[in-house]
Amino acid sequence: MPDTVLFAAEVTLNGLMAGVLYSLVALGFVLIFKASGIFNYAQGVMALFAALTLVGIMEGQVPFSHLINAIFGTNIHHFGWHVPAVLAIVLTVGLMVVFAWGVNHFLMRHLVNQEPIILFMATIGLAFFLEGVGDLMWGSDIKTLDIGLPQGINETIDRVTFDAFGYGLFIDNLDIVATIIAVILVVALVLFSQYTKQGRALRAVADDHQAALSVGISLNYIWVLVWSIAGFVALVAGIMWGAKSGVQFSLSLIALKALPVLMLGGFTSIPGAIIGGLIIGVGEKLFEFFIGPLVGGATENWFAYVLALLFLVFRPQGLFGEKIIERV
Amino acid sequence: MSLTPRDMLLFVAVFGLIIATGFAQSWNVALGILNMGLVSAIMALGVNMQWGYAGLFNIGVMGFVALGGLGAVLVGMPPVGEAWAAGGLRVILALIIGAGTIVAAVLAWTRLSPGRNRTIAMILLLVIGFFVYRGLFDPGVAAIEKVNPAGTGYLGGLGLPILMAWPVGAVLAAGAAWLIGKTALGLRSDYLAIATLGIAEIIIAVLKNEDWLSRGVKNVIGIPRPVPYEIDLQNSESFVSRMTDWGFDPVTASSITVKLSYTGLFIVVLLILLWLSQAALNSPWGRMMRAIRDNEVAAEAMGKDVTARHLQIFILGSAVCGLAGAMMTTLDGQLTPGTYQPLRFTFLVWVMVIVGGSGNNFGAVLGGFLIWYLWIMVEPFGLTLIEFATAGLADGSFLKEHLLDSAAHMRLLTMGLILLLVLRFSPRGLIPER
Repeated sequence: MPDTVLFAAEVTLNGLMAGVLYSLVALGFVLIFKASGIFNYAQGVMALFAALTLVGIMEGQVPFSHLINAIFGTNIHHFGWHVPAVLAIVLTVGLMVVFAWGVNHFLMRHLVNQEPIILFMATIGLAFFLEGVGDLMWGSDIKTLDIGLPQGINETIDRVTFDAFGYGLFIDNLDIVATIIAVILVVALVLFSQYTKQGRALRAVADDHQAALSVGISLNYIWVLVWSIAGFVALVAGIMWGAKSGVQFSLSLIALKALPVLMLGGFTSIPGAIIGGLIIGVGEKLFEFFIGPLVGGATENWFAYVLALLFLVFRPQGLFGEKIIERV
Repeated sequence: MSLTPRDMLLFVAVFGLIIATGFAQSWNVALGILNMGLVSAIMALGVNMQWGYAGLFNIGVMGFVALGGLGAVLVGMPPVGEAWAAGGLRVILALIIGAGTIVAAVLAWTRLSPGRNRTIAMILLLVIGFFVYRGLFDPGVAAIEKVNPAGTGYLGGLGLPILMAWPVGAVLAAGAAWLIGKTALGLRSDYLAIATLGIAEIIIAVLKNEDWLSRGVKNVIGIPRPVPYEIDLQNSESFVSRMTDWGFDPVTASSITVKLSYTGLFIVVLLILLWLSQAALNSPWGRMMRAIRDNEVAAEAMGKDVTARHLQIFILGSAVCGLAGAMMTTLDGQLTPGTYQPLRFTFLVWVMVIVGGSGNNFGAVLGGFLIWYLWIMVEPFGLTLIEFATAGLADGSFLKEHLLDSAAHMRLLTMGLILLLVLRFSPRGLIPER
């Protein structure tokens, strides 16, 4: 096979892996958007915050140590223990649930019936706030996250492809694990929303708030639930991203990349978020590979938006979105 | 629609904060905040026109601001003669051919009858046009960028007075807005959101990569000023003697004079814009815009051309953002494409509009000043707080250094808290629309 095809195949595979991360972030957006009509700008920061917390707990960092030291003149950094990854993940999930409750109790509950833009602005405020708190709580240095996931080149694939084509494809083990976990997560979410009482209540609220309220579903409970699930998805995304390139504050910017993913997949569709993320991930890598040299490179910053725009012309509701029929 | 005593009080409070900074720290800092506050207020006015009057969701403010900055470079900088000789005409010709190709393709598409011939003709036009364009463009650009790459390496500007750049920046932004609006308006509202977001990124990518145009990430520095330079003031006998007579330090006085002149210029622009926007908002046109915003279907039924009005207000608002961008670049004296980030130039402006009160021009202006003040001052506030708390520690101790570093990040926390509190207790902003 010619080299270009092999390179393109490698680029495609790596694009798929990058797409998985976009998908995971977009998934969190979709969950909250479906249940409450809020476009949650803070989703990226939630991933960051969850990852920071996980690292902090695992390393036994003292939260707010800077602040405590500053106020009481002490000099503490670490508790001096290391928490096993599983326990740390459980604790982090607990914290995200508390966070979900807090968001609902102190903020969203009071903004019911406001215009969508106000809710959107509130999530921007939330994003700022959470980024600040994350920083204050765990410090701003880039942290390495290692929860024992396999990393580095997958040698089996490398060897097999080398024997077959004379060129070994480079695929990171971590990406494979990330893909598997993402698939499990999505399957679990679908099962949850189809077959459990809470899941059905969630879908009822997504369909019609008032009808759900009238059959005795507590909106407050559902919103806390959905923000908790979004927090959990954010944690998974944060773990993947953190294991790949370290837990750092640039992660919060991924929120903007999720917008074209959602446009592509449809705002209200879980499979749409996944497929949309994959298309954007592969698309931007391939575009950079083939067209990038022609236009001077750096296409990854804007390709996603242009693709989404073109896509909207032909299918405004996205791949899997519900068709919006306006009745007058 | 006028200001109530409460609104007046809010304005007085914000200016009181700035003046207090002047007394507590230095007038240089206070005036610096005031100047950027004025620019921010103008940006907020532009966004308020689009969102507050018409309900258009523009999340590409950054792109329009950057285009305004490009306008300042293209008008204000002296032309680089050598670069023009090396490849200037070739690049211009290539751009004309490129634009011509697109126009010809569009014409072919609309004029020819549908069928296979039309498709083939258009593809041929585009492919040939593209290669001719690249053939002319690439060597031209290479030649230009070879001319003294460390110092210039770009075509330079027209060398005109910098004040002329302000309307030019507005026109550039308006042109981009026309292109976006033509394609994205009249469709569902999220088209505009994604189009503005995407095109803002593209504009920044172009500014970063096209070195022949504005030096890319090498930055254009030393853009001429509309006001005197500090060093000239310090060297002028009459200025120094007058300031010494009045009991000021000539060095400080020179920089304050420069900042005050900027303030004067910016205030004139802001007042004119504010007056125009108020007049527009209270005119029949303004009522029509609000009617369209509140119910497009009803407005259309009353015979209003919704798409055309949207295009109009979108272009106007973007032009105001471009104007603010040109003013900001003039104030900074440099164009640094690397520093344009959505958080700072799009969402911060949105925060200003929402906190101030969307739909109310005075609200947007207030939000501009207040949020900019906080954006700048929260950091030193945190610093002071931590310095106070660590007063007992020895200077230069590891812990103290570390804490002072982390003070910088108080900014986001506080901004988030303020936004959340305002939305929680006054969701329609500090000065709501009435």
